[in-house]
Amino acid sequence: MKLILALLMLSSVNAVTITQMQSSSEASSTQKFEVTQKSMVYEKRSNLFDLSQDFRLGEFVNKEKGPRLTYRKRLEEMKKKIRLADTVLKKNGGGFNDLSGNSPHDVFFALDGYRVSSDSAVFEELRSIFNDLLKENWKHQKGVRLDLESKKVIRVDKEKEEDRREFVYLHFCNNNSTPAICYFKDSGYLFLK
Amino acid sequence: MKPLFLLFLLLSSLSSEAYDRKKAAAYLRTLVTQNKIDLTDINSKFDFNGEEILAVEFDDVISENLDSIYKDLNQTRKRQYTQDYLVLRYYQLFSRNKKDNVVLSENIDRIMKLSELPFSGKTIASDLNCPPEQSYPKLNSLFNEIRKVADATFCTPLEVGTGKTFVRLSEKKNQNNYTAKSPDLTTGNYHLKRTSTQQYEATLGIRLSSGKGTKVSSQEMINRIKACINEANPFITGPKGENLKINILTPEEIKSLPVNERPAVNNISIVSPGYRANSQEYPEDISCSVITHEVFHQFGLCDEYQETDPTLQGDFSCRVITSSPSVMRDEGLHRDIIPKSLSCPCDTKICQFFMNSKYENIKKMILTEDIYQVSTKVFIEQWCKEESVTTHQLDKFPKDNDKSTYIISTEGRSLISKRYAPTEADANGVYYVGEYKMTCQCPDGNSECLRTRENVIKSIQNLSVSSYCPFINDSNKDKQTISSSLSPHPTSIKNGVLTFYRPPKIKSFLQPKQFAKILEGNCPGGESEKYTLCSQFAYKSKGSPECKVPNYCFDDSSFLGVAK
Repeated sequence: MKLILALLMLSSVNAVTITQMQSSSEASSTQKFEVTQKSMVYEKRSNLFDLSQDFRLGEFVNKEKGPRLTYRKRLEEMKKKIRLADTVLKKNGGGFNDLSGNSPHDVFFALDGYRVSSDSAVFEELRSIFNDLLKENWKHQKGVRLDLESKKVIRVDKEKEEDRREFVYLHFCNNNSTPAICYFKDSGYLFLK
Repeated sequence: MKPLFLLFLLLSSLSSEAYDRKKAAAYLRTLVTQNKIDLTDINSKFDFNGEEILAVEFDDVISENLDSIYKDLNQTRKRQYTQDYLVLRYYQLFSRNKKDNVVLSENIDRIMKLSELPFSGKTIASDLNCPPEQSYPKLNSLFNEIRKVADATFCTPLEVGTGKTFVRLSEKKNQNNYTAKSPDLTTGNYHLKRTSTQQYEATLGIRLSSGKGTKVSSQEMINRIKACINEANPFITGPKGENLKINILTPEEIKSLPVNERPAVNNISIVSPGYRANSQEYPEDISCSVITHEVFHQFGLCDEYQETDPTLQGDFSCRVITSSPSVMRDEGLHRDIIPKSLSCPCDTKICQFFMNSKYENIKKMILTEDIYQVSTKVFIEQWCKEESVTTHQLDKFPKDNDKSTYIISTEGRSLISKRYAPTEADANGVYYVGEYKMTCQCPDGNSECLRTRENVIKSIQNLSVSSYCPFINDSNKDKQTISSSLSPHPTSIKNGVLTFYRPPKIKSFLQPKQFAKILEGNCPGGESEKYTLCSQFAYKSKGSPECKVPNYCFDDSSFLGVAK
């Protein structure tokens, strides 16, 4: 019991991450939120499943205290329950992830190391947290974005524009697919709809 | 501190349960008796005095029904129920009084037994169609003997006019409990006929079902699959020029076949657009290149690509990644195989100027592949840098330069090439050809980079007609039409539309051993034996004890039968 409490306390010091994995026939999409005591970081590797057009990839940051504490609490509570379940399952020779749905192309969340598949009873709650996080005010810290006319690729570092280069369509993008898929080193994939 | 904490717990429990728990439990029991609530759904709620209550929180009622809950669940759902129950309930053991804990604790113990724990990897292996061969050794040995006798007959190569029906191993094993979504590694469900010395016909039955909210009907999807496969059929050839024609049939069409020619039907769901396709789920916007790849899974061919999903990279890290052209690694191969007629918008000034100019070599160059087309995006983005070198006046551009890319050097692990591309007109309206130098350098020991580099070098030495419209961008790309065409035609430009023909660059969708695999199924001792052995690692993890990949699997000539 003491060990469990110690583990629970330890977790509040470190970051909590929630990652959504989704795939399509051409590429996979990873979107990760890391909530620490000081900030929230959103890592976006693809715009494949965006609800509105947003041609930005990379790292985004939010330093507002209020939402951060709320999300941290919600995620920690969820993680505590999962970790306890994991503990009892490990005593039986397995773990939480061994019981998670493992269909290769199914959407799922990774809450730190725990894989929460779409069949899980807590999936909807995680999705709700994830969707709320998406709506927060995010500042583009590092990565790439296209300019308004989609003619330039702008590299961003430390929230500032680092350089602009021509958006050579056939270089960056797979012309044959709809939507066109454009790859940017270290930042991910943009899907031009 | 402790009494205060208990008081807090008591208050919080009072505030969250404003209803009479005993009466609610009695009401829940009535609902269960009347089959008005489904306890196998862990999120089931019932309405009691205007409040929505989660049924799983009633430990006594769950205890009374636990056996029947587990009896009604299949193995996959049992595992999910166990996981959910523990997540939703186990933490309560630490926050409730001991009396309440007794039943909950008993429930958890019983669930552990009902779930058939401990874990052994057996369940996951069965999901991935990797049957645990080590189970039941005596029974397996007997089964193997029986199988040898049956296989000896079944595995004889087909004579002209004869046929045989392949059955997926997991279908044989357990027809009612097959839930896996990854392709079966042993073989698929299909009937194979040899109609002449060089001609085979395979019949594949597909039953489509629409998912929630999907707009593409089963009929539309089956028509699309049939059209894609018909387009691919002339290019499904073996190493000796044999051809395999695949017939896609609906369950109703299968019924019209003679009984001994009817394969088991494969179930495929239509899912929302954008979803990543797999052999049993086709998104509404699935393309012919993906359909072709997925259909080959139904014949027992395995994936050969590096998994990009970060969480699956571990699960499938034992997979052998090939480097030779293969539709099971690169769906884009479809583009290089199906001959095409390209109809391209050419109403921009630059396109009009060059395509109507006297510079035949430059026109040819524009319609030829460049390094970007014959390479992978990852290779160029990770390991190459391109710089602008100079621009050439059109009249001084060498007449014998009719290719867009030339190799300058291939020393060590590098590849240096030059690329020519027409430029937009300058302020005086003068057009040029731009020259760019691309330097690619593979890191020491990076086999992926080195393999790709080799392929890129070969491709540059043998550049083909472009498979893309020139001068295309995101604003005019929707005006292009790329259709399959078996008959070649000359290049023309008319009314602002450029039309040209791209012949097949690669002769067959299948490498020799992939072709043999379809003819032989799971038969031992044939041409495809090594293919079958190497393919069994495609859905295993590097950490698994079963991940013992023989060295020959990393050689495409052994695995795929690629000519050395």
